[in-house]
This record gives sequence, structure tokens and C-alpha cells, in this order.
Amino acid sequence: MTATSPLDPIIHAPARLRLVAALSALADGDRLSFTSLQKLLDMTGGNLSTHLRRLEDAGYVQVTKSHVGRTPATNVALTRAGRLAFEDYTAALRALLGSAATEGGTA
Amino acid sequence: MHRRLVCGKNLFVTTSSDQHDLADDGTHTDLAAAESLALIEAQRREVGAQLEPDARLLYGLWGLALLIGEGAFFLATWDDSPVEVSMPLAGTTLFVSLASAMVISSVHIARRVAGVQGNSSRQGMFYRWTWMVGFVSLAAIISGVTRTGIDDAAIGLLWAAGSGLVIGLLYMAGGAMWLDRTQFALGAWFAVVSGAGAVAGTPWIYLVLAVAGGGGLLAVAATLAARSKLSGP
Repeated sequence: MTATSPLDPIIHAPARLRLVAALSALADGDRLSFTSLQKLLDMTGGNLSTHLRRLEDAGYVQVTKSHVGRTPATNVALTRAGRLAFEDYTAALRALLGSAATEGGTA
Repeated sequence: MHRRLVCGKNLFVTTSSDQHDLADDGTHTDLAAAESLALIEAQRREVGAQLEPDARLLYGLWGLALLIGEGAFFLATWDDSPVEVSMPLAGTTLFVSLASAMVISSVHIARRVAGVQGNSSRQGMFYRWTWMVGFVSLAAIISGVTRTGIDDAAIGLLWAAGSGLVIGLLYMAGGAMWLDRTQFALGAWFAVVSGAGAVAGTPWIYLVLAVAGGGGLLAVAATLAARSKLSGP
């Protein structure tokens, strides 16, 4: 652990952590529709869009827009960078837990 | 490295607005990290619960359909049957139970997987086509064999054992594709008992499919339900 936060600030917010965790549960090469994601996370569309944009700017998610017939469909997936960042994040959490366990007596 | 003092119970102590949602380093506690990991796990489980078809429901549904449908055929063809079941009644019962199971499971699967696009949905589509092609081809084979002049008992035997074989092989293939040991074992069981049932002949093939096949599916559904109740929240 360095002096700076070991936890990725892009992921380290409850809403985005849930969002990234949900996307991480998809199989490789899968995308989830915006509406399913919204239902899954119980978020408003605007709220979800805001968090998605932040993740998209960081290169962690890819948002694709397509059309099913005439209705526009938005799909979301973690990018490789996003999956890696999420894995690093969980590893950092485990490390925090691990160091807490080994130093448990000194705290 | 020494651990900072415990400053906050929650890892997300400064989350009042999006701009300030970065927890200050130093607020991390073992408890908070554990909570975050739990949050991640819960969210991932929720994805499975909402977006993947429920194996308990599907196994239970098809188990019941086979138990009732094939059970009716067994009672119709068994000489010592305590209840009288006519062949048309048995045929109708089998058709209605299989058709209901097909409609309910199709609707269930379609609703669960609707939001997911990509590799899984392609896999699912290919897999559904495999079932369709398997049974259409089986029907064609049996109609061809029928023209060689076999009796009704042989046709019934072919349908029952052939269906059991197709089900068995597709469960085994599904188990291989999704790395699902239960599904694979269930498929092997189906294939083996169908072969054994065919050797035993009429009416035992129907009993085998109803009890070993349908009953086996119901047993797996019940086991999965009990297991998820144990590990559930």
C-alpha cells in the first residue's frame, strides 16, 4: 500500500461500485441493456447516465447505442481496462483485510 | 506499513455528493473493506438472480411434465395398471404437459435473458436451435422407421427412448458449455436410463422416463432449492 489511496477513486463510490460489480458478473463479450441495468441497480436513468459517463470517460465501460427496429437501445459493458481496474480494486480491498488481520493485535 | 486508526465505520463516509465521494485514505477499516467486498458479492449474486434462468424452476417444471406425461403412458400400457388410462388420454396428457413446460420455460428464459446481448445470447440461441433440430430430426427418423412396418409399441418405444437420448445428450452438452457439473451428470443419467429402459422394453421405458427421468429432475430441483436456501441471504 502506498501513501495515496490504494482504492481506485473512479470505482470507489457506492453507486459506481455496484455498477461495476454488476457488469463484472457478465460473461466476457456480453453487454447489458441500459434498462436492465437501471432495474438491476434500482437507479434513475439520469443518475445511471451520470455514473456511466464518468466510467466511460475513464475508459472503464463501453456504451454502445443501436436500434432494435425503431426503438433505440443502449448497451453497456466493462472494457478490458475496466475489468482490470475492478480486479485491482477488489485485490486492494482484500489486501486491506489481509493487513488488518495480520496486524489485528496492534491496532 | 502501519494501519491507520479507525476513523469511520463505513468506507464511504464522504459520499454526500458525487464530487466528494472519494473516501479519504485513512478511513479504511477492515470492517469497511469487508463491507465493500460483501456489497460486490451481493451485487454479483443479484445479477445471477435476475438475469440468469432459474435452474430450479426449469428442472422442476420439466421433471413434473415428464413425471405426469410419461407416467400416463406407463399407466396406459402397463397390464397390471390399477387405473384405466386410454391411449388417447395418455397422448393428450403427455402433449399438454410437455407443451405447458415448453411455453412456461420459454417465457421464463426470454424474460431473464432479454437485457443481455453478446456471446451468451448467441450461445443461448445456438443451444435452443440444437434442441429444436434434435427433436425435429428424431421425428423424421421415427416416421421413416414407421414406414418399414413396425407396430405401435415399437413406435412408442422409439419416441420415449429417443427423446430421453436427445435430452441426455443436450444436458451433457449444456454441462460442457456452461461448466455445469450437475447438468452434465443429469444428462449422462438421462442417456443411460433411456438406453436401459429401451432394453427393458414396453411399458418399462415409460416408467423409467417418468420416475428416473422426471423424478431425477425433480430431485435435482429440490436439492438446488435447498442449497440456495442454505446459502441465501
